[in-house]
Amino acid sequence: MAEPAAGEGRILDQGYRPFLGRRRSPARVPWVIAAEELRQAWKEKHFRRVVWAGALPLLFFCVIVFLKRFMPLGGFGGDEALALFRVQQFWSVFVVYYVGRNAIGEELRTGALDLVFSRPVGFYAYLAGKGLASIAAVAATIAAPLWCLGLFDLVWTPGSEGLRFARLAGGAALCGVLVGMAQGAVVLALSALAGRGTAAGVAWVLMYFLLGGVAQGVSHASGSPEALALSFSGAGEGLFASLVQGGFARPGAPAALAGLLGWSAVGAGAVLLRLRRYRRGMP
Amino acid sequence: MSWTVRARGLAKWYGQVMALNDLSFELSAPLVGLLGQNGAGKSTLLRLMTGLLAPSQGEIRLEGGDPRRDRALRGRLGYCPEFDRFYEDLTPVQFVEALTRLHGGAAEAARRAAEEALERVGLQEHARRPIRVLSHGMRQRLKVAQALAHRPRFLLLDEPLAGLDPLGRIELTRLFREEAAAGCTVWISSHVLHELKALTDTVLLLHRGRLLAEGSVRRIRDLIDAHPHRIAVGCERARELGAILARFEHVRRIEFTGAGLVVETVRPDDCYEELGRLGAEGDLGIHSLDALDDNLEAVFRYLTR
Repeated sequence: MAEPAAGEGRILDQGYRPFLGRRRSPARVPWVIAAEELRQAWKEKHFRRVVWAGALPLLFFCVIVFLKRFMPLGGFGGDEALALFRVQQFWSVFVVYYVGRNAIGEELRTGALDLVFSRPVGFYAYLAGKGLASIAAVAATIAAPLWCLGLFDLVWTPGSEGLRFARLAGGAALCGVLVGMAQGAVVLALSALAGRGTAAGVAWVLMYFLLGGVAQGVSHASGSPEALALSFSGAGEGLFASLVQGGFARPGAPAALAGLLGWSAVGAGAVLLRLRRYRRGMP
Repeated sequence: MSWTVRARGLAKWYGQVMALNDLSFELSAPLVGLLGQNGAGKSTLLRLMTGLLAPSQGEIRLEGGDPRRDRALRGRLGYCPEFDRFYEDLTPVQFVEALTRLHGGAAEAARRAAEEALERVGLQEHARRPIRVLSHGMRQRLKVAQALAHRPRFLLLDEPLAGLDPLGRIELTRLFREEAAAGCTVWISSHVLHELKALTDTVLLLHRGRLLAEGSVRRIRDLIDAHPHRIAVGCERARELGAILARFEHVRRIEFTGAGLVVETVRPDDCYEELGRLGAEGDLGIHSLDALDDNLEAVFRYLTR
């Protein structure tokens, strides 16, 4: 390539070299961001440990289902599924801790967000990508073991119904996504507000457990089990029990749904407020 | 062809602080130097050009498009910010690849583009070490690589040479010239005059948020009629030449140097004509004429004092 002489300031326009790689739709941007977010989390040794440890309860419950065939304990029912859901939901607190704690705060703090928004990335596409990573991680943590357990029961236990498995699988997936939305939105908000990943993570874990206690207290004091939906755990369990077991569940599905969507809205609102500088006028 | 940047009444303020004040210009050049002292508003202008900031007042258009709203336009920009903090645990190749993928390229193409960009900035040997262990100079190169990897049509570089060793400066300066020669419009900000002087003759001078001048340094200098123009005259009989020049009305000052004299004039064209005539006569031994004020330092000094 000819180089212009510095003294003369001569410029030789040799034509723009276009990007020859394949372009993909802008709709893929959130997926690219989510994949990168999960890849970053996966690089952390502790995150990988949490993920592997999250598979252990499944083994335990599979053993129970295995043994039930030989013992007069009754068939596989909603109790095992609900218990496994509780365990996995508890585990998802730490999964979302690793995926979401650095998601926005680190980029805000270092200014790396400028590198993202100087590219063809829309504001909402960016947020969708960050949220998608948390939702995918939590949904997989909650739903995948339940699907495996249901499938194992379907294959192993005589008289198992496909319909029951479908209900379990669908309920687990829906609850996983909704719990992921609520938890992810709140962790992203804490990340955006705290700036430091560790501070955001610690705040999230404290908030999760304190909120559980507060919801219990309010429920006890008011005598209303629906108040349990104030906490992530209570809302998640209530929704799952309503969808999978059917019938009587506390808190009921409407309250549980309202609880999860409410936390999603609170988290999303806080993130939007924190990033309003980037949002103005941006598609 | 170079992209045209047009600003009309552009202003940006942060609370009570006015970062840019009523900027209006239209500039189309392959390489433009954005010059100004610290706090002059250079970074703010570049951030407005990339769409990262919304103007408080007025508008800025790149090739007719609004960078804030036009996503496709942003896809053709390459921005190198001033800060050098990144995702510290990534390697340079992962970092550049991740950002390049945001332009819609497939993973493999993005990886190749990242490796090529890192090679162009001379960082290929460190492409697989974590960013946190890289030196300041390497991080500067990495910033430039991420701006180049997706082959932008318009490069906006905020202090890209800051903190680089001399060899790094030469290499990156050559790279920017190559990009401009290939048809990419390149805007470079700096508060170091000689950096820009080596790169381009076209500048945009900012001072305390105001636009002081735009265009060719020589042209700007010609427009500053109020300030005397200095000409270094190399001659053997400086005293006699000084005596002749002192009679001219347009000569303001004469300063004798070892090699001749420096004359300050408010009508440089007339002065050059006279000196040419005297030189042609050959009696005074005039052997060189150098315009001392056709450089950035002089222009900047005149405009900001």
